[in-house]
Amino acid sequence: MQSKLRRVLTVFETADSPRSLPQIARDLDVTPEHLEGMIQHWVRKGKIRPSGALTDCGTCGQQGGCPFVMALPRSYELVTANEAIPLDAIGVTCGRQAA
Amino acid sequence: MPITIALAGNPNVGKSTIFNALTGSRQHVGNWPGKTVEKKEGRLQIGDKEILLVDLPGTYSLTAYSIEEIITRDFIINEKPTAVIAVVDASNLERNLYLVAQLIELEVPVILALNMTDVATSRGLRIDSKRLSERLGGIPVVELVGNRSLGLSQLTQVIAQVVERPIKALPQAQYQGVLASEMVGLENQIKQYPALAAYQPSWLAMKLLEDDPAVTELIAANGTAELLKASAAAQARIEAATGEDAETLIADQRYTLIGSVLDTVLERPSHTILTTSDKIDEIVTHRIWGVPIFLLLMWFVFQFTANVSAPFLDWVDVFINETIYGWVSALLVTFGLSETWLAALLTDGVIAGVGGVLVFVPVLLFLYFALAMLEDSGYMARAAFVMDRVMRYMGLHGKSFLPMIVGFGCTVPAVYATRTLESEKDRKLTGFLATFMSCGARLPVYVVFGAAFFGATAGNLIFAMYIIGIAVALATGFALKHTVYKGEPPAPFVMELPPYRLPRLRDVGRQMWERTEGFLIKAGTVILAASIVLWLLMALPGRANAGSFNNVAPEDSLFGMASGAIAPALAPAGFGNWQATGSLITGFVAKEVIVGTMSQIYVGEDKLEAVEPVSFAEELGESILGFGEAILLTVQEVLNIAPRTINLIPGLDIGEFSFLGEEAEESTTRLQASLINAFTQSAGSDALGRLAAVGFNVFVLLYVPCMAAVAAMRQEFGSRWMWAQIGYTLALAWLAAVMVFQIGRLFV
Repeated sequence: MQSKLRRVLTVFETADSPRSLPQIARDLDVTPEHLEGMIQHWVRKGKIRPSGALTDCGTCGQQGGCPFVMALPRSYELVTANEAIPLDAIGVTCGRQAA
Repeated sequence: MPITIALAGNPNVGKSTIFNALTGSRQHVGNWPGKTVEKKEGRLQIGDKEILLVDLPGTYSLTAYSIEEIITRDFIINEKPTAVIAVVDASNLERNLYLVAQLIELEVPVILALNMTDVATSRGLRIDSKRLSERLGGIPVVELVGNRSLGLSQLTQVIAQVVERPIKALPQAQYQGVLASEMVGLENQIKQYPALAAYQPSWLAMKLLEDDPAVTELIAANGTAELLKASAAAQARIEAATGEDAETLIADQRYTLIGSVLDTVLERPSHTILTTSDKIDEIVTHRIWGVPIFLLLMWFVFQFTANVSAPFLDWVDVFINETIYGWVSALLVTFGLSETWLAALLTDGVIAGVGGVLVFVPVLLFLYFALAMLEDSGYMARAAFVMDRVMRYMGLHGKSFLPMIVGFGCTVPAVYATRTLESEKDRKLTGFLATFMSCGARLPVYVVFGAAFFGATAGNLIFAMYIIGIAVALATGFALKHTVYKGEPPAPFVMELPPYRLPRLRDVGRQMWERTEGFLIKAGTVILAASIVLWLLMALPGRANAGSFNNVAPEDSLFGMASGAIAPALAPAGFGNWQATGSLITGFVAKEVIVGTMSQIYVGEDKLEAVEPVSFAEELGESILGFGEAILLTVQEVLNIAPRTINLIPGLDIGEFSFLGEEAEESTTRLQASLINAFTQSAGSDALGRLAAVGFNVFVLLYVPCMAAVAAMRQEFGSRWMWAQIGYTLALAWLAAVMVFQIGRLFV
């Protein structure tokens, strides 16, 4: 039988459509906050990464970043062989005024 | 020896409330040495004992990955407090007990403060705190409702007892098999090093197996590097035996402990309670209904935007193009400059160009209001979730939806946002498709054409443009993904869906302003510059004998002739005149400039008739009156949303509100009237003119994005890709506009 932590990772590895944290939490019979804690373990292990860090896009001088970038909730995805480049690590600007 | 009690817990569990209640005003706030994290200390008097209470930073665990975790851990290990009060959220025990398990592993006396028990009860959770104490090795458990000061006296009594007789619980996690034996082996080796005597050997062994960076550093600094080798060997043996790394095994043991403890102490409701948010999500993120609901909401947003903003749009139009125009003209006459090139530049260039764009500020304000309401309520996250699914069906990368949603605001950040995608192919493809998302700058074009040709149903045209943009992007993505860019789609997203909430007007207002501010900045810079350059090109004769500077028919100007040379290419789409063509050319600078150019061409051509001179005060009074009328009509439009929506059902005809009578309801700006004339003439009839107008909007939607977006594409994807995009979008826009006109005319 798989451990609880391994089951969380398996969900990411086998999902064939987008899932929501509350949905997965219900499926695994844990609270969403507890699931968040287990996801953080895999984030630290480099198996899962938080994504959708688009609120960092467009450091164009306006407070709160680019006003056109919608504030979306946290999301996670499986880390694949091709490592993504975190947006904030590059220092992306929206092209209007580089920070 | 001073008595020190530390307060630890996850963030947002009410730790500070308990700290404040226990210490009152006897607090000292500073920073942790060398850190920017706030340190709070306070004094608590119990009997004759004065206790120093230290509020540790909120943290979920005691790993060494965040500054808060390191501060908390270092304080407990180095300062050795008499006890640690672990404040936990009783309504979320599963998550909170992870930290408690780690505190117990440190072999420090722990008092469990079970806070927010009222919230837990309201959620149908029943906690057996006595049993919980037993299962956690006998640590004291106190039930609290910190924000109502309930249970604080019991907590104080327990603190007094623990100060007298500290109770240490034994680590409860059941480490088994190879993990347990390797841990014991390392522990025995650690005991042989006096330099590490200050630390719990079992804890150090566990941290070494977890590859804890701070402990590894500590071991190396104490000249006990051979322990690292032993630890690495132990890790390898564990992984070989279990197929899992030691850190994961240890964490899993803690989760197993928590699960087993909760099975015996926590009584949950017999059925899974779905919250209101869960129930709403079952409908709005439904596999079948999710997309239609999203489309319906978007349709509603555009109906709202077009209709409710119309009265203000008319008012701003009159204010800029008549009132301000009149004031500037009067000033120019006063200074004897009315017949000079400067007068033409100011009135036909700046006011017509920039003013023509500023007219649409109310439209954008209302659009941003509607979108911010959806965003702040939590719905937009669901929309992204639903659209993600659609994109995956089309074979696109699940993450592509993020840049594409950004593209609804502005294409430039959308292109940069593709950097979150791993593969270059996906980045290029998503950047390519994001340009088809209708950005905010295109909206004024749809609004002016919608109002001119479709009146009260202008929202349908705007909605159609957004949907066509999405459809073209998906179709292009589908085609490319199944031909040029074949490949397996990567694993999809897992997204947090926070509960719905009532939108906060302050946040909505801030978002409205920030987005509109961007538009105003653009109007005062790019659009102003484009208007001046355009005026200059329209003031210069395009051929000999066509006139002189600032004294030339528009069609004979440099701009008119250059546009006229390209115009025949657009004739099959029904708008093959130099004015429409010229507007599309200037639209490359920024899409709003299309409207500014049309305003300069049409409104500039259509000079104001001489009017009776009126005083400044009279004009100001009329403007204020007009503003009041606009507010009244806006209220009317808001009230009419319901009957108009109901009237869409065949056979129903509910009456609508009409505060100012029929005459005030339908008004056409000068630009709109000029557009109707121009498109009717170029297409051949009213109906064909309307078709040509739709085709023009489709062209604006699909053709080359603005120069800032093109520059971003060149920077991100290179020149070849940029030219491919320019070529594809031009060809697609032309083809789509021609199809709209030519196929449409078969049915007119």
